[in-house]
Amino acid sequence: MTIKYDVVIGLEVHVQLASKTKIFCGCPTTFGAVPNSQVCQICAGYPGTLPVLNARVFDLGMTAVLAIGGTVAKRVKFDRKNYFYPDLPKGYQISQYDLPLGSGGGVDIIGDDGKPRKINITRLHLEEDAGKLTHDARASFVDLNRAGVPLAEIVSEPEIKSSSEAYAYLTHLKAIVKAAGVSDADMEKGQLRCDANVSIRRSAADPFGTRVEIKNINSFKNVRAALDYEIARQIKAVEAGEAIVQETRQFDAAKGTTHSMRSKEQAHDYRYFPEPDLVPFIVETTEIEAVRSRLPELPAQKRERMMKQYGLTDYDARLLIENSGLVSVFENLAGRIAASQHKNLVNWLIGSVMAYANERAGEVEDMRIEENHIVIPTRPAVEILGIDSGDAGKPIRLSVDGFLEILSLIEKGAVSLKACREEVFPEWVKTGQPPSKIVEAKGLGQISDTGALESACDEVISKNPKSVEDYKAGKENALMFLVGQVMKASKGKANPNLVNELLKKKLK
Amino acid sequence: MSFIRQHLASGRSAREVLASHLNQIDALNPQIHAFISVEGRDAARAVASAEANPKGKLAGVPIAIKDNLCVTGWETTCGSRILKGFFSPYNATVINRLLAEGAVLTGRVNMDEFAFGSSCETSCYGPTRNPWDTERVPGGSSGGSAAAVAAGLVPVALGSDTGGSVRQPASFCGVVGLKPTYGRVSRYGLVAFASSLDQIGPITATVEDSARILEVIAGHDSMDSTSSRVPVEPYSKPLGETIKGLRVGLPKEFLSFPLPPDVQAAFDRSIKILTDAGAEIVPVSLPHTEHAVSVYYIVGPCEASSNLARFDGVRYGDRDLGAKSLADLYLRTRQQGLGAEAKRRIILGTFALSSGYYDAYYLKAMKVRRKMIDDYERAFQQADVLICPTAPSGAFKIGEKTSDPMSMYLSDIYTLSANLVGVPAISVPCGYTAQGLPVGLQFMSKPFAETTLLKAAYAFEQKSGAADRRPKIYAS
Amino acid sequence: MAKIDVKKVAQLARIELTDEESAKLGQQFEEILGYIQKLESVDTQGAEPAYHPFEMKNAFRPDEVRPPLGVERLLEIAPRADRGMIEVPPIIERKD
Repeated sequence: MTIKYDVVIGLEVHVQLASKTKIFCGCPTTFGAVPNSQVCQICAGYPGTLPVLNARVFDLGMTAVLAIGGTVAKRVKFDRKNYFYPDLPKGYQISQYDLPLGSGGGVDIIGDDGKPRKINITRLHLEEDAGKLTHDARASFVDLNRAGVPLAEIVSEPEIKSSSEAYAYLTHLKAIVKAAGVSDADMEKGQLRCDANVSIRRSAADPFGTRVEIKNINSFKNVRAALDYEIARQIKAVEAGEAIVQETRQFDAAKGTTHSMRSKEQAHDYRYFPEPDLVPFIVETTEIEAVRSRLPELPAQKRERMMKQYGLTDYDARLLIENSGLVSVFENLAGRIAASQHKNLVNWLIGSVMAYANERAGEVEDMRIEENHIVIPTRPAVEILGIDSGDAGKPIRLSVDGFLEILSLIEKGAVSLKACREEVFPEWVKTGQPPSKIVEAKGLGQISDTGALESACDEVISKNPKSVEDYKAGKENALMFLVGQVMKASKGKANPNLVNELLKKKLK
Repeated sequence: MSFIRQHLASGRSAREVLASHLNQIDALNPQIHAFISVEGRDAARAVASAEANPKGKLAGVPIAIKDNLCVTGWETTCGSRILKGFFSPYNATVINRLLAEGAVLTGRVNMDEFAFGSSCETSCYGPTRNPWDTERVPGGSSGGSAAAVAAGLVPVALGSDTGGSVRQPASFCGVVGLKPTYGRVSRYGLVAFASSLDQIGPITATVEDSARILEVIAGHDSMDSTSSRVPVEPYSKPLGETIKGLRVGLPKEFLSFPLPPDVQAAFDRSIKILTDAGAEIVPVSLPHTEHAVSVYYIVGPCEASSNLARFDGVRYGDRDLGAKSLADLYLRTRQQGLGAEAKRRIILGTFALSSGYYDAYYLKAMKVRRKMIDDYERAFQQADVLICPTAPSGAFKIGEKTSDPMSMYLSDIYTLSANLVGVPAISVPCGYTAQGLPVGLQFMSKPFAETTLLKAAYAFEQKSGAADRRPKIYAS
Repeated sequence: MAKIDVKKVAQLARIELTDEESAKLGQQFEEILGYIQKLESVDTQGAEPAYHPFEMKNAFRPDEVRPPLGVERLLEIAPRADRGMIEVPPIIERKD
């Protein structure tokens, strides 16, 4: 018997803000630079240096707060979080403690129950990033390029109930910050990092269980894996009568497990106090409104627009929005086909195309249309568990013409959906052959010619008077039987939907 | 007579002036150990700024720099072993401003380690000695700065003042020491002790020179978030104007501290000099004065404990190279590199910020600080300047107070408040103790009123005749 | 009155103390804290903490690049460097 547990998850997401320079000094923040080439005396914590806040970072921070629907504080200050580590040059991190830049707001997701739900956000605050440490057996090494890079830390309320909800929250949050222009939020470049707090309890009426923090989750897929593992671990422990230790655990992507980071400093005394080298920041309402007026179309608005403009369902629109590249590809292609095709387009993009991309490289970050191809960037295979695909890392390129041809074949009913999905599409992506040729070669052509089908229907009707009677008496199953007979007679080539309609018409 | 004014009028070359001061340094520094290193010996390099800025306000003026101000290419150690080997790759803003006006940077002068001290005895280089009596301390932490000026080694030295570290040594050495309003002078490049208290200030032989230096170093700096945008005034211009009608406040709490009779006499005489010049004496009250030491010895160490966390041997300075683990690297580097007073203050500050104690210590101190600020605001509605002695005695003997930190802390009672409430303050020689040691008079004015402050100090200086004696060291 | 656990606080501050130093400091702290205790009696009702002596606000800098130190300079200044990075003793996180 499986006992259900109430899972409680809160996520802390660090988003790198898209300014040119660091938060407190003029060093560039470009990704992938030679180690220690983007460091000055200030971000290296040399004696006598002082921080000065980057105006653009503050602006981006306010934008982020408004984009997630939060409230910008009128009085904002910074605080020092004191601890010793080689990647922390000053021996303290400048962060925000009690007067953060923003509070409130949330992210709309579709919960596991299929219903829309808002995951509330507690706060958003600004802080500086630390440098990077690498290790070998003999020594450890410090690269300070990342020290001082501006981060917005977004803390959710502990309202997430599963790993799939966590995944949805993250993808939506990413879409929001990207759309707002606040961050490129590329997890691969470390521009979006996620720590999770997980606990379980027997029911939602019980008090919260002991919280475990999971760190070092570096991809959206790994968030799901890490949480699944941790939840299972906690359940197993509780069922075995063990207590959950409050601790920080690291996720090991290669093994798919979390392990304890049992270092001596589990309990830090950060000795927070107001940063005396910085002054408080007072924000006027007019400034906040100015930032609000500059907000571009955000995912929620985009979703509503897509529903209205393309007649998409809420569900489909949400699936599209999860990947900002998907939306742009959709809008691009939607313009080339009839409105009646839009639903089809959505289904194929989020269905076969995404599945193919996921299979090839584990994670799809951004799609776009380029040179009349659908281009999907991929991640290097080495990062993905168990995939050994020789050409992972190279972008996927699918010809738009071929893709539109597939859509048109479906619309015309020239091939059945099943055959198209299972045989035509895979062959097309592999060989690049025109889909219509593939249909022909494989003999998958579906009969959708009304004339031909009419006579087949008439024949079946005349041969099965009992079923006809049953149907007219209200038995729906009888119709299905008749459709089946037409399919049998046509050796499976008849377009079943069309047959269904024709029979219904004839039997009215 | 203002050295700077005299020098600019003299037409003497920078090289000539530097050379004569180097001679003075050679002759007297061995006895007082004010200079740690004399970078000015590379004369060509030192006078380059004067030659590039011949019309500069300080063209050719030799200036000594306290060891906690960053100068490109100079070993900047703050009197500490932990920074041995750190050669600064950048200039403090004040250094750039001095250079732009043609100043000749002569060398590094000694200080208490990381500015923790009132006697210049905690320096890893050993103590500096008072030119008036080499058995005695010059004061601290800018002891080297004050001793160098008092002994005529340089006409100007920059110091830093967090709780009196420019004013008290000036008082002990019979020279002028100014602490500007908080935020008046950029702190960029000053190795931080207590970020909300620190200010850089000049030590000079005369008030006019002090004003002239302030004109150059003061002003907003985009590299320092706490630096003020209040416009800089031509501080030296109004000097000499009458102080008739100037309201001079006597804070009753300061007056209640016991003073040795000779210091009391010098102070009383100073009041008379001011009233003779037309000033009006006004009694004022600063009720929270008795708490200044407590507030200071919480706020200072708290901020310092965090500011000094960066001295860990990782990116610069000294490191225990034999450390096999990270933990050892930190523990041993800091154990070996930091002196006793530094350790004391860091640990005290760490404690006062720690979980469970923050409210009772740090937060409480900051609230009492607010009360003190209110006290001074009220007082400055009734008075234009406040006066009191700078120190409760003349210079004490080397070694006399080193075993009793509390007694050392209490001797800062007159100077601490100005840093806590942010007001500008200046110490001017006003007399001598029975043993012939200098005594200083401290003026304070409200924030950003350095013009009034300097005018009052100048008027006093002109009438006090306190600069009529010279340190004993000249006789040797 | 609070008593400082000198060894514990010294560890927080990453300063290794000898037993002698620790004991001496303990004594000195007793004296200092004893003096500071006076603050407890001060009425600070309604007083806003004064983190700076006056109200300052909104100091910003523009989002413009300033020249970095440069890799050579930074590594030259570092007490130990290797592979283009600052070297420290190996940091091993003990795993479960």
